[in-house]
Amino acid sequence: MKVLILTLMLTAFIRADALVYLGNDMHTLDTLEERYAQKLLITKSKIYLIPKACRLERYFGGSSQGDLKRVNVPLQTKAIEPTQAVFEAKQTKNIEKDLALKKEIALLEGKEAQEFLADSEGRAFGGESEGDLNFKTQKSSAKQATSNKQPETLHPSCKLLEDGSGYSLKDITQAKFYSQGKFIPITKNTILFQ
Amino acid sequence: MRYYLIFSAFFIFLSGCSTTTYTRNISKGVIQDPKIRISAKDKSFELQGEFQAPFHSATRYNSLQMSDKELIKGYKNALHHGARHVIIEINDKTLYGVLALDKADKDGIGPGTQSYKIIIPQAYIDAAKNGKISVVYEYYKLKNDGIIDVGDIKERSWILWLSDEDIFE
Repeated sequence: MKVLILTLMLTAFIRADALVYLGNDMHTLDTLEERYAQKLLITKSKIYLIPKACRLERYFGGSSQGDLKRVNVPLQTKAIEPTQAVFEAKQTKNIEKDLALKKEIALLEGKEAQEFLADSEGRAFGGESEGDLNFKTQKSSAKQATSNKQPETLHPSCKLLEDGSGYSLKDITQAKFYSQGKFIPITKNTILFQ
Repeated sequence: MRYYLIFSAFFIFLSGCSTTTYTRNISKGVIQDPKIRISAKDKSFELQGEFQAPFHSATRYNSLQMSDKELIKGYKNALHHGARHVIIEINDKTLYGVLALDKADKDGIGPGTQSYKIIIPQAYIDAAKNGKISVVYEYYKLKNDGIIDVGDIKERSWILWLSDEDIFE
């Protein structure tokens, strides 16, 4: 049991998230930036989005004793996260636009994850034993299996920093950010939140 | 002896639970609307646009401890924990309030743990009339350690109580 908990903890800390691949048509950069309302990452003629796991947002909230004329929030099955756009919204359509964008990105990230899992059919397994579990042999065979297999395309990935102050990027040779019509070279692998 | 050991273990466990984790300094911030000015009632500071945090409070008002509804009356206790009595000037309007600028939890993640971004939506300003209180705040989330789900906890970084009457004395 202790081994299982330690393994789970270790997995949680070392987890990196693949960037969301959008395509390679450089003529659509402005359209994509406007559509997903965030800067894009370009590497080797491929266009990516930074996934939600790394691109953390600011959240706001409030309450009042007075008559708070807030925008009518549309009915949702899950509570809306009051990000800046939602907090400051003066019209329902602004909230709906923000929600639609989040849903679209979530679907996109889900689809991407599914594609990465295609090889292993996305199956998940678990196990437990009353005896001592020895993962050493399993680990070495898994290592061998992965080392023999070369992925066709290595997508860049990101990982939240331990202190939550930003995220680090991996496999981003000659990568650039694209924002407001400009390419910004990425000089450091660590991006800190502003 | 056995009871002594059990008691000691229990005491150590409780001590661990109460250890403060709000240790990360947030040194800078910005008031999004450049026309808004927040100044201390005792004139010790004045904030407008980008600013360096002039003080740190220790309210530790997270959503587990205090819901939004309870937070409205939380200014009294906040003043005892380092929050400051302030005057808020918005265009030609003067409001009174209490500002808390807390340090961040060491397990906090996201931009809200790095700097304060103060936003006061018009709806909350309009509702703070006839001595009624509005409260606005920014919150951040905690890192999930994979054992306990802390995803729903809101850790508030700055909190601003406001009203058109100075009821915060």
